[in-house]
Amino acid sequence: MRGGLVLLVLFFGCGEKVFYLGEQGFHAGRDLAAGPEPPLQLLWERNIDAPPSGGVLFAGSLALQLTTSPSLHAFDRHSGARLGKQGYDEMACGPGVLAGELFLLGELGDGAGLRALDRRTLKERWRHPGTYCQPLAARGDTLVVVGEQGVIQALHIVDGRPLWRAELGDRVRIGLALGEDWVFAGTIAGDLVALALADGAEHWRRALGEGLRSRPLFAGEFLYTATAAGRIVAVRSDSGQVVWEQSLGALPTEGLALGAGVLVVGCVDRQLYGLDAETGAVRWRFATEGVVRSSPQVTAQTVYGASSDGHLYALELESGHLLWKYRLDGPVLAPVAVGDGVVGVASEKRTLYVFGRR
Amino acid sequence: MRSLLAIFYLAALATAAGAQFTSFGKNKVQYAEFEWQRMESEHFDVYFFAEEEQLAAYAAQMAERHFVDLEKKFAHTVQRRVPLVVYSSHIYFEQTNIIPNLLPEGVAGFTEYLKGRVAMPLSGSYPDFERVLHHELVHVFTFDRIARVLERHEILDFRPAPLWFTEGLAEYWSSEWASFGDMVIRDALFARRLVSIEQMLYINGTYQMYKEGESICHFMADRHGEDIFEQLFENWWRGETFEEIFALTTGEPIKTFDKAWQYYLSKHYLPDIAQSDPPSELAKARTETGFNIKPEIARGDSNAFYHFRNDQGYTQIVRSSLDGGEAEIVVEGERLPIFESLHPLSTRLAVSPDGKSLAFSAKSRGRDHLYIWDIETKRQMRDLSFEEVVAIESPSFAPNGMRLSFSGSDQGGLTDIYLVDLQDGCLESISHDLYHDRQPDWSPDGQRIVFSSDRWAGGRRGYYNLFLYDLASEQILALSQGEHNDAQPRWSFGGEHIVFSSDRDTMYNIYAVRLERGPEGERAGTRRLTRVLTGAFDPVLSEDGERLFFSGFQSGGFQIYELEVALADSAEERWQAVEVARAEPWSLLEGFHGESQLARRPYERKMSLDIAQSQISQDPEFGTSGGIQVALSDVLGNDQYYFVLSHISGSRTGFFDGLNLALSRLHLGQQLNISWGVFRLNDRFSSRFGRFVREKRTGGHIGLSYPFSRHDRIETRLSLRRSEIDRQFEGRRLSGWLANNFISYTHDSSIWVPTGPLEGKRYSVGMGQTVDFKTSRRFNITLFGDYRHYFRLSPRSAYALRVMGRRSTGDVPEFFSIGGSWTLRGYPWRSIWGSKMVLINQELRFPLVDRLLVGFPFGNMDFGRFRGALFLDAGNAWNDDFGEWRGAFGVGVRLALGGVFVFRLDGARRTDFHSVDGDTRWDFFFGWDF
Repeated sequence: MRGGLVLLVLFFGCGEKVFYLGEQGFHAGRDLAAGPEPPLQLLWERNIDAPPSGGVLFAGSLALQLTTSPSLHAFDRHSGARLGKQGYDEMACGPGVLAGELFLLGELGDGAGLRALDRRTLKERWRHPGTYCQPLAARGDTLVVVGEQGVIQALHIVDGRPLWRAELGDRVRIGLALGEDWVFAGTIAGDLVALALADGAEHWRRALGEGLRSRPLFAGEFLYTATAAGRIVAVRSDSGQVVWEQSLGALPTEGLALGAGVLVVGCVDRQLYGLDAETGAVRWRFATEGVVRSSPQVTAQTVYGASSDGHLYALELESGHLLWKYRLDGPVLAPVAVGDGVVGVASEKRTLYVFGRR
Repeated sequence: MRSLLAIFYLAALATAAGAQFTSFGKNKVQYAEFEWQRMESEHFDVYFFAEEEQLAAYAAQMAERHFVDLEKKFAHTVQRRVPLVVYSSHIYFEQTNIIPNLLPEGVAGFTEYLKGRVAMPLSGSYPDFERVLHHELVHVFTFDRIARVLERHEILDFRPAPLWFTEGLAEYWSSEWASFGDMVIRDALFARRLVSIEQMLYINGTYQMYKEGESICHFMADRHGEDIFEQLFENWWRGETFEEIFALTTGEPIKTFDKAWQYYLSKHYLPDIAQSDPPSELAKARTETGFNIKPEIARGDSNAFYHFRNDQGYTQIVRSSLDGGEAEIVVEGERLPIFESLHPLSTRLAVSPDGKSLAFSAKSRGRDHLYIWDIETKRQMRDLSFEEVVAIESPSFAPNGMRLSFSGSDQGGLTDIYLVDLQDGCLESISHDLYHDRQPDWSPDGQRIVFSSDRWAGGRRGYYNLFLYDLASEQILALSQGEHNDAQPRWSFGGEHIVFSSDRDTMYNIYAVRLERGPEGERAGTRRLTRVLTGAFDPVLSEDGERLFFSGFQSGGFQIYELEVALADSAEERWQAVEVARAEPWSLLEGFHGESQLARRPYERKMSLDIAQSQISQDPEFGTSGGIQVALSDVLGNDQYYFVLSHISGSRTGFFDGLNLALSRLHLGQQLNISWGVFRLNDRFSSRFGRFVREKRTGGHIGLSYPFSRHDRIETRLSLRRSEIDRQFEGRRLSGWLANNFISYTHDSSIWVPTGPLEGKRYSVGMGQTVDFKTSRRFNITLFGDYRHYFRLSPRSAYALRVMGRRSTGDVPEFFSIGGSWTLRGYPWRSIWGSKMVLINQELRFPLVDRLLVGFPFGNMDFGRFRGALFLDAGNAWNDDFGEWRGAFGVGVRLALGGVFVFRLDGARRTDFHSVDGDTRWDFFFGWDF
């Protein structure tokens, strides 16, 4: 086994079925209202062995954090009790992802591939060769992955059997999004593409001019993405027709977040922006003291965003007013995660924080 | 391990560190002493001295502006505070102790990675200062971004980016692609000198590498998107080489990209040949070898011109004849110790109106001087320096020959046009402001001075136009206008025209402007004189106005060309009105917070770590040895501490017996360098040519070194110690309280190639003595001398001579040894020894193979710069009876691998000068030639 088991720990209570669990961002399966509203208290903080790779994953009673070492740390999401740590020999590529019964991990090295592990036992179920560093998406028994060379593949989630394969014609730097019947992907050449989830047939393709750097965010009628130059674009999800564009002028966060008609994006110009999801107008902006690389998250009323200034911010979704902030021990690059009643974020100083209301 | 500890001790016991205290080497002289202060901005600590407070405030504001810009480009924040040390003049900058290296004039700034310091001078132009600052900050971000990405993925070995990429990216992100980039790339293409990415090592560190790197980064962004660089840095942990990282980021092998880039350049630039020509096709080349620049014509001398020449590694001023005769050296230039630099790239020469004397500026003793030189006798007539002027450029005689104008920079870095009266030395400036006024030229009627300056609105963006200073009205008039660079204006001898170099039509070409007064006032008509493909500079017209001399760039260098011109013909001219220039077209801190918001603090000498390293090794004689070395210094590098702790655990020593401890402090912030230290050592010691002696020593030392100039210094040291000495080689044990002192004088004006010196000389003479000050017993007196002279035979060959001798007398004389590759070849390493020593080396050094490409199954290996040597050595070391001379002769080969790593292989046959030994003995060594 290329990623030899170093330490086996048992995970408990990972029962819920998810529609999409990747790096944070909008996912249709989660109830926005489930997130906590500020002011929050620090429930617990724990050291991890390396900087985070992706955001913390909340699953049942677990909080899971993959690190760049790479190791998978498991904590009790409520108490922070350390349940175990699983180490891997090969370098991890991209964030770990929970999908159904599986924990999926992209690995580099000579035998680069996507490893599907049983989320309860962490035993390998199957392995699919290739370099998969971007968040993937799953629907029912279908898992859709995208390789850096721009090849999208649908795999059967049970055994990794290929279902279909489609080539986008250019490289991809961002993860996928799933609609009801469609897979959405963006290329570094600036093409936003919709493929049929059933067979990978290309449905539409829209050239947006610059490389896409924010994972498409599917929200029913509309699909949102952002380019390397900081141009936020909304298109119709059924045709790719551009509805609006808004230029923010700086590299956006990989994940966008949407709630209450506000599209939230962070930028390397130190700002968090709230855009009107229907018109693209900037409704508010919030200045942090550092580059914003951490993808923000939203709850029913609140935006949670972190910055390389070492703060976790809670902003009012409607207005962008600062509601609450917490000084962490170092800059944050990994996405903020919102779970049922909790918010989690890991700093570059190797500390995982989980907040909530007692 | 012996050598390792020896290095430790040398560092710890050094009377001072850096090149100035090695046995030879040129000196970095602290001519000026500054009261340093610190200015704090959000991310920067700006270090400055009182005279340059305005510059410091500007630097802080610009640094913050570019910090925000680079945060976006790198998608990264540098979390640490960045030390930024600014100097108001390159002359001051060259005295920095932040790095020990001597800084050439071409270095516009540097980023040092131990403490992450940025150091840079003001060259006269504030916009250019800002560009260089931006460039250096790209380095700060590049280094930090890579370091953080590797740290994030727990990769301990730093994977540096190739130099062409770091410099190319810094150029790309700090400035627009400009005429000089076009010039270098076009020339490289047309001269078939373009270097592929794979071969970039061959031009490492050159201007061509910078411009090729910048061009590659432009192409990279065009081909893969502007965010390609951010992606490359993000992926830095995923590959071990840049090629690997590039391929996995772009999906394209770098070889494919390289070919595409070269094809793009060909397609973009090659059509230009239809419209323009290389200088050699357009005009007659008047110089051919080396580097020739800045032609100057003397009135009444139609058969020759003066210019700077560098074909031997230093700059001279020569008079070249137009009839093809041998060029005559008028000023030996940088070969003479008094001239540290003639600034050939930034300043011009001036011939007096009577054609008898030359005026030029040269750096000497910590500031620029204005020299008046008798052409006939080739001797100095005047040496002018001014308290308020640090840097001097481009002198120009008034028509009566009694006054000179020049461009001068004061202690704060403000650069203005100055006028000096040669009779009374009276100095005045025509302005005193932040604009970069340069390259003045006095009109033949004596009423006006034309000069190039950024004193107009576009000057804030780095563009220079031409201006006229009217001496009667004291008004400054704008002669040209536009977003381009007009430079090096020169009046014709008759005063009808001004010729100048300009990049107004993309490339630098020569233009002529004539002034005309009409009903609507004065106007200037400009026409183009050359269509050079690469670049034409430094124009000057012949006395009859029918020939133009200029410096042309071709095949990577500059030569002087002559072109016939017809200024009286009816070529089309573009007319512009000559108007009074705006008094204050731009200011430094527009759009910024007041500089008063920047906190100022006195400079605090806070020490921080430079190096901390440890080593453990085995020695068959002395057992296990382990040691740590720690070096600390302040931000400016003026104060340095060295701490050494090591231990030798041998069977004959207890723990404390084997303990070695030394602490030294060096103070380099003034012309007199001071060092002191304390030590407790137990090890084997040897002088450079001495015998190893085992000694336990406990004591202290103090040393002084005073450099008079870059080439000469005197130094002395006194040490007091309690010693227990075991001179195993003569079976003698001694102990006592020893006082040792020496004094020496050292000169070094040698000029080097990668394998060693090729021209000039260096010598060191001195004496020292050791006494037991408790018993007043004199141990020894030692005299030493070492003289080396390098006679250049051709540009790349030389005859080298070394004569050295040492003599030690007294109860306990020092012993010296010779033998081996570095002293007497053909004899075993240090095999001949005695209290007296003499050595004579003669060596003929010549080029052998410039490049050797060897094919291996795994790929080609490219070796460059093989040099050959023929040598004859003679010497001996003795005690009472000299015996006979020992000699050797033979051949050698050297291969420069970089820095001190010069591979040397010598085959020698011994001789006693009566007969020759039949065996050839081979010496192998790494190190420079003597």
